[in-house]
Amino acid sequence: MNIIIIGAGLVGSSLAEHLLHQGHNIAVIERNATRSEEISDKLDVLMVTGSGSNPRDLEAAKIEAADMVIAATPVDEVNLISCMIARKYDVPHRIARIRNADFITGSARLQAEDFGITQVIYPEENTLDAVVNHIETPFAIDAQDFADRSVLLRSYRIADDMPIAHRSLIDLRNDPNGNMLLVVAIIRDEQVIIPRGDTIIQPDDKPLFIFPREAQANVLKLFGLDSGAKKKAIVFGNTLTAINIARKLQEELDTVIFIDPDLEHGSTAAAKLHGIDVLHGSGDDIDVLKEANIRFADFFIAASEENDENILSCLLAKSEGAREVIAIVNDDQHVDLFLSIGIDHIINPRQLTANGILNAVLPGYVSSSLHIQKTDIDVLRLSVGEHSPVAHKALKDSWRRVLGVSIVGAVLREGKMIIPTGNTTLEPGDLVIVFTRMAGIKRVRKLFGSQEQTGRNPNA
Amino acid sequence: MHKRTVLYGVARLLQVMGLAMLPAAVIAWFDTSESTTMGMLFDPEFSGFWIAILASVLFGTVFATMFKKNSTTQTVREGFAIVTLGWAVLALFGSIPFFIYFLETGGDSSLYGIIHAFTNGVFEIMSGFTTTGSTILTDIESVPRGLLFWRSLTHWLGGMGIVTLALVIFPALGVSGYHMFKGEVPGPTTERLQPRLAQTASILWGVYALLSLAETLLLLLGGMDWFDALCHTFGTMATGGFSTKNLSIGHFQSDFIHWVVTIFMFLAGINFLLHYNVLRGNPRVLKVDREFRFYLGVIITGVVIATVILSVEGLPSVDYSRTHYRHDPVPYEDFAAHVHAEEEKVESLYGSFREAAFQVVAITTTTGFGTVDFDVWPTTIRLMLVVLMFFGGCAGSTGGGMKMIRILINIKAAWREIIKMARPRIIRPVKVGGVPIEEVRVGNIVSFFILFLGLTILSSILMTFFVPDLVTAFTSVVACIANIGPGLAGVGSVENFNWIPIPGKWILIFNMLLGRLEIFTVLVLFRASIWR
Repeated sequence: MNIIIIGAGLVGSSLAEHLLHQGHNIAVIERNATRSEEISDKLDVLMVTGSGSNPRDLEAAKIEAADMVIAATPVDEVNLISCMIARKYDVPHRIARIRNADFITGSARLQAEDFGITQVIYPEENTLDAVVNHIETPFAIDAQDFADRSVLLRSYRIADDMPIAHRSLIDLRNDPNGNMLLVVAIIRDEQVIIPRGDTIIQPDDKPLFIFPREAQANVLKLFGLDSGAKKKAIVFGNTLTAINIARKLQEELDTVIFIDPDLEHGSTAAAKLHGIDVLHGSGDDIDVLKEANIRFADFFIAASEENDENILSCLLAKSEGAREVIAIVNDDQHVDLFLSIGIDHIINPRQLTANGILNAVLPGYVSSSLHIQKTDIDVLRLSVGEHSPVAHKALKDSWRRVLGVSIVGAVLREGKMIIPTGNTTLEPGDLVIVFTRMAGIKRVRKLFGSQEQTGRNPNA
Repeated sequence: MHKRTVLYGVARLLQVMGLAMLPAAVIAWFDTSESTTMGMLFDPEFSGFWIAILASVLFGTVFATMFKKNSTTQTVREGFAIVTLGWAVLALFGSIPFFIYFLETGGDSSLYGIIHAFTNGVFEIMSGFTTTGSTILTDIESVPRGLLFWRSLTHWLGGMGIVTLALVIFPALGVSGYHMFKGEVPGPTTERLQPRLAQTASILWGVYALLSLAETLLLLLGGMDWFDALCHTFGTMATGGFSTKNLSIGHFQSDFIHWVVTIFMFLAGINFLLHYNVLRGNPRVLKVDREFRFYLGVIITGVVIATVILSVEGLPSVDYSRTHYRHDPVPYEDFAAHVHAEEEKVESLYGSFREAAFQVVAITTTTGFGTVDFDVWPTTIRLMLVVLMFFGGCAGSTGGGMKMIRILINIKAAWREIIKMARPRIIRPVKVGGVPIEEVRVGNIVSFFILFLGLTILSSILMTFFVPDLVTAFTSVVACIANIGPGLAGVGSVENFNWIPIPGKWILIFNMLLGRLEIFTVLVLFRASIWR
């Protein structure tokens, strides 16, 4: 496919990189010349320095032959106009990143269609979902949801005193708390193990689990966590994201306190937030944290504009007694370092946006955030078609070719999650979440008969 | 400040008032017993009207023509002056009929008699235009109908003026119905009613007139004659309180009339912009508007408390109530009979509820009509009513007092200070209905509160020189500055303001004006720099 990406920021460049690896032809339009040069040095893409809202620049990026335009600049208006222009060139797929949802949902008279957008990505929502995921299952080192948040993927670092430690998977299967739990992979000493029934979970392992939402309370017990004990969160930041997080958390928790380093923004926040105390103070000021009664806080979430300030305030909050600290950081360089010095979670909104777009662009693609843990595992979400090789067959027969490199994580049938066994038969219409090593991706796709997205279609 | 503009504005008001007096004059002309032209011209009632109309129209026209040229566009500062001066001038010219009537019937043409008649006339008409309803008439029913109609009409005109002021002048003073309203109703109704203030004003007058018409018809249905129906409508819709009867609404002995007046007093205390929205088929605004909810809450609470106390405790003993100061004490037997009659009214639970509802609504909306003598009610209720006097109606209504929204914001601002003690770094705007109020406005409202109380206390101290007891001194001031009408003790619901010495009356006249024009409008004129 010929894909044009507009904007080569963190989102755009990460998109370009992934799509390139999937074998697509990529053109990137970037306003900043220095940035353009950086990208063209690094990636084999057609680089155009210019604006996505300028038809000349779009033509230079060969828009006449494009199958897809992804407008991923941080400026909503530019993204809107790019998509409108792309429609005039009959580009079939037009995807826009929209930060302020009011552009699309603000009026009953306007739809995404009117701007020529075929698919809208709201990065804000991805970030909020990520935060809520972490709040729901505290201390998970990775948290993702599938299928309208009914299937949960979590990863925990196993501690010696957790009930789940030193137990085999068969043993877990027979535990009433663990019978809905599926261990997809275990990361042990930076090695990925695809587990078998007799594999024993050891301390310091980082297993990947998949389980349905209704089993959440039971699963948390296996980690010695109580799902009902979350009460208070402190949100730090001077961004719209921070305000939205606070508002979202208010629905989940008893008490939310907002700390804003910027007095003026704090007034805006106080105007928008109801029933949340807004304090003015710097994130590195212990007195402010104390005034917010940090030692009673179950969560501290730092979402200011400055990455450094977020990290610093998280560390301070942790030392002052916050149980779990989460930093929103727009930086994918030092994630490991941040995690190693005591931050419980890093949420990278731009990464999430890129994932969200990839998710929308590539059929079956879910996320690559597992790369954070330095695995080569990818998650695929595939649907079983009438003529898929796997259809109407038991898994123990159909899966033989990819055994050992990939595993079926969950089968969703009519909105219900089924924990697959060798005897499970896949039916057309099933949605299957597959975990696979990179080496197995192609073979797995073949099993499902899933083709690459159809090319340029003049009737679209 | 353009003094010419101010004078021009006042002159135009005067012209309008002269014309507004015509219906009253017509009534006086019909009622007079004189048959000759000369006799008519010197009739104590009619003579006042023709002189007043002539004087108002003449002065109005002369000044209007003189200052028409060079009268530039008005700013808010001119607005303050026009309003304050206008109210005072209208009260002066409007009082001419009463002045002449008092002079001719009083039979005292000494200098003291003239000043006395003049003071009484101004008091009565100022009380009318400010929709206060305090009266100096001792026997209302003996006063000719033309005069009674005129003083009730001044209520209605004053109410109309207030509705306009709420749009034009009060926003500049920090609180207005429009402003509050704008912030509180999300969705398509937030649009200003009309792009131009003049259009909005005429819409509100339309609402005012419509409600007045509705009440008049209902009162006619309840058995009043057209004269009483009109006069009481004027008194209700303007939250004034002048009646044509000595016993006020109590005269009519009709539950229907009783409840009609209660309901319309309640309606008159609501922001007229809300009425407009409801009439346009958007009743949701009543649910959203926090001031209305607060208003409703205050009234319901007041009614419940009063009903419970009245039905459980009953009235205090005759001996106790007799200790309240009365200017004209009646013999013990008569007083006992009076208390007994009042007791009968609240004997049943329904009776308690009916009277409690009427009095609480009448006082809270600052109307001040009466069906009972609440001065013989239990002390708790008497005090509660005095407290409610301060609350007043909603902003943008014809009610006086401090206004519900100011009370609400003051409570919230005080609560915020308590929270700030525990969390010094908190950023906490005062919010009404989720919408933050600008800090400047909060400061303005808090200082209004202080000024209102301060002026009440200061005037009460001054009043102690002219009246013999504390309760009368205090409640007479509250009744006037909050534009209620009756107070307690010497100015209670069966008493009147006639006996108060002349200087005391002028203090009260000034208080009525201050309260009606939201204090700032008047006080700002005393700052010399505004005139330069």
